[in-house]
Amino acid sequence: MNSRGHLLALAGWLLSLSTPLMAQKLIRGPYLQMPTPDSMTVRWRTDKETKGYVCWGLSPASATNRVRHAGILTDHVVQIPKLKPNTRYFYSVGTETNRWLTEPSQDHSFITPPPHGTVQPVRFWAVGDPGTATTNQAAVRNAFYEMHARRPADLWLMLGDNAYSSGTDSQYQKAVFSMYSAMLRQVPLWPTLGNHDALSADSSTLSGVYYDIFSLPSRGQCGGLVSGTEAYYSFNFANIHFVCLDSQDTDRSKDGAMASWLRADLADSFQEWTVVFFHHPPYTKGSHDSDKFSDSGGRMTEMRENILPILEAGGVDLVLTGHSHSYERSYLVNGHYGASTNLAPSMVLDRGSGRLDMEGAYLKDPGNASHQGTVYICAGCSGQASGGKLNHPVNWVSLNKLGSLVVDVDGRRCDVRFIGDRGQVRDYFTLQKR
Amino acid sequence: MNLSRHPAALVTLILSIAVWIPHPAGAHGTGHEVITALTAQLAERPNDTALLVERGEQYLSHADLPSARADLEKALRIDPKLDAARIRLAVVTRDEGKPDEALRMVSGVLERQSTNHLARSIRADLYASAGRPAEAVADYNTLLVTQVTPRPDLFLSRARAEMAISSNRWAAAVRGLDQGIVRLGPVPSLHLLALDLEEQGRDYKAALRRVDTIIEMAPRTDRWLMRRGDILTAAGRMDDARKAYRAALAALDDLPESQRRTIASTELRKDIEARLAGKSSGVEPSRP
Repeated sequence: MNSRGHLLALAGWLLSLSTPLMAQKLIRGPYLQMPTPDSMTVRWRTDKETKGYVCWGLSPASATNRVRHAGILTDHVVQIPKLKPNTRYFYSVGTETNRWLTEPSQDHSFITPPPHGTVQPVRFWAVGDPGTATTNQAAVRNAFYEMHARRPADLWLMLGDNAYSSGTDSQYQKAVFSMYSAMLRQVPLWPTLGNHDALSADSSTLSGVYYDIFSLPSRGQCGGLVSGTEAYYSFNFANIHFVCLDSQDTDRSKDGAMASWLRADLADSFQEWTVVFFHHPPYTKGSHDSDKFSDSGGRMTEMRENILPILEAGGVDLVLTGHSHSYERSYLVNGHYGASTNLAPSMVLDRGSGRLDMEGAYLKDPGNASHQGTVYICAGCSGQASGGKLNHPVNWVSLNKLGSLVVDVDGRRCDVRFIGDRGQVRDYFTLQKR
Repeated sequence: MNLSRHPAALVTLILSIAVWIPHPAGAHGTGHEVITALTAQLAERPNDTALLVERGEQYLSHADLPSARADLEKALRIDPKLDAARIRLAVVTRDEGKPDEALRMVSGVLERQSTNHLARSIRADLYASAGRPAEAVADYNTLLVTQVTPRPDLFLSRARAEMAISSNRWAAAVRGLDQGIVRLGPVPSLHLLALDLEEQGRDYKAALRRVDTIIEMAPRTDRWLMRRGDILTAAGRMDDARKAYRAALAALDDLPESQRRTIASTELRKDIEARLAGKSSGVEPSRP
């Protein structure tokens, strides 16, 4: 080796010594997106641009399969392909310098969804308007974590206003990524856009923080029909069809692209259960009033008048929303598309509580039976509870309390619980397909 | 600090307290917490145009048009070149029922900033609703060329504007929808309007090709097969139409029992059987 070669070798050695000092740090994630029975998308952020990769396997020791993304980035998105359904995988994320940012462990593992249509117990968690980054939000989170440590959720939903007050990147960091880090690295998250998120995002151009942060299926990658936009989408998990709508920033008219897609998507679903989520509640007398058109720019009215008829014709079982910072849960209802004063007795299909230990479960025919009744829940109280008259007549219960929703689906039975910030079961009911 | 001698500071203090004190039940009103926070900031910086525009937009989203107008006009008085304020003021003006004035305002913005997507999108919709579809199509074309990820609505709006120019332009409208399908994937909203237009233009071959493509991909084929039968009926191919209706019935029979027994499936079966019997069921068919 000549003197120039020695110099280069020395420089290389010095560089290798300095690598740990220069190494990229993990500053967000990892978090899981767009699960399918044979793939999972892992995202994370580093403080410096780098090539990123994911290693995975069926045990921490065998997590040696490797896939990486193209390009040099700070926001890393890697899809792990060719996975087996219903299988736990352990994973780690790393950088081009071969430095692990996480270790494969129970804490860094996920279970792929079962094949679409599979009948097996499914649990999902839903938080509405959580993003206050306060002790309230943490208390609601902790109550769920503690109660469900043995049987965690298979997936979770965010019902909008995920990060206050403007859905900026730093607000998302505090209210979502720091708040739910343990959940995010193990359980795939499905979000919808709230009015506060929309202050830093634009559905018409799919740009801004919300759309930068989340990977969402615009092409039916996770089941459901191609929506052509990440603003609204659908996916399947086991025997449940989930539909996410954009009540904030997308045309809500009857002949708009979202309504037209929704009709086709619901008509094409084979799943036993259909759960729809969006931000603006069709029925609320909480911190918002769904009877006032001017409240929230007419969004609640438009969703109720234009979208609910499509949902009920498509046999939707459960509609989850936020926006009002309260818990308001309806009877099993059908055909109530007007103001609260227009609620007719015939629109309430079951006047009971839906509780097995009281009047019994809400009963429906199996499949996507049209107009057999839907339960509407506004649960925008996972970060704050801010009152209101709470007297909408369509609701069986209205509470000015903090909490989140836990939904358990098993075959033809669906149990819904509203869990308070200290683990109290504040409401519960059952939907049963005959 | 003696607050009585500093009214602005007193207002700021009161508003800040108002923001941070938890609202009692019932006092939360209509969710104007962002407006309250912006108002507090504006008390300190009353001529901050960014804050004025942001609060104006918030008022606009709550349909409080007079308050939105006041903020946006103030921002424009401070900075007459502030297009962000002018665009939003155009929306206020439109919502006040003055579309011509709104059009003039966004057109002024586009003369200075031809790449402003928001202004062009608003102007395209204004042209469409004002009965000026050719100008709407031109704006939609520009938007679709310049946007990386256009929303499906833009393709629908352009096709509807094409048809508003003349019903003879159905082929151009369909071509535009197909461009959307190439860019976004087989979005049903785009396919459905294209099918309607092809039937309207009596291009049954194209409509059949389209519905066959959809049937190949659709998880459930029953409704699409019925639609195929309808297209064949319109084309006068009655034997083929009956085959399609029978195929639709067979697809219904193949559904899992829980799906077969639903009200929607039962009604669909009635519709198809009525067509096979050569008569309408008398209700609007639940076809895709």
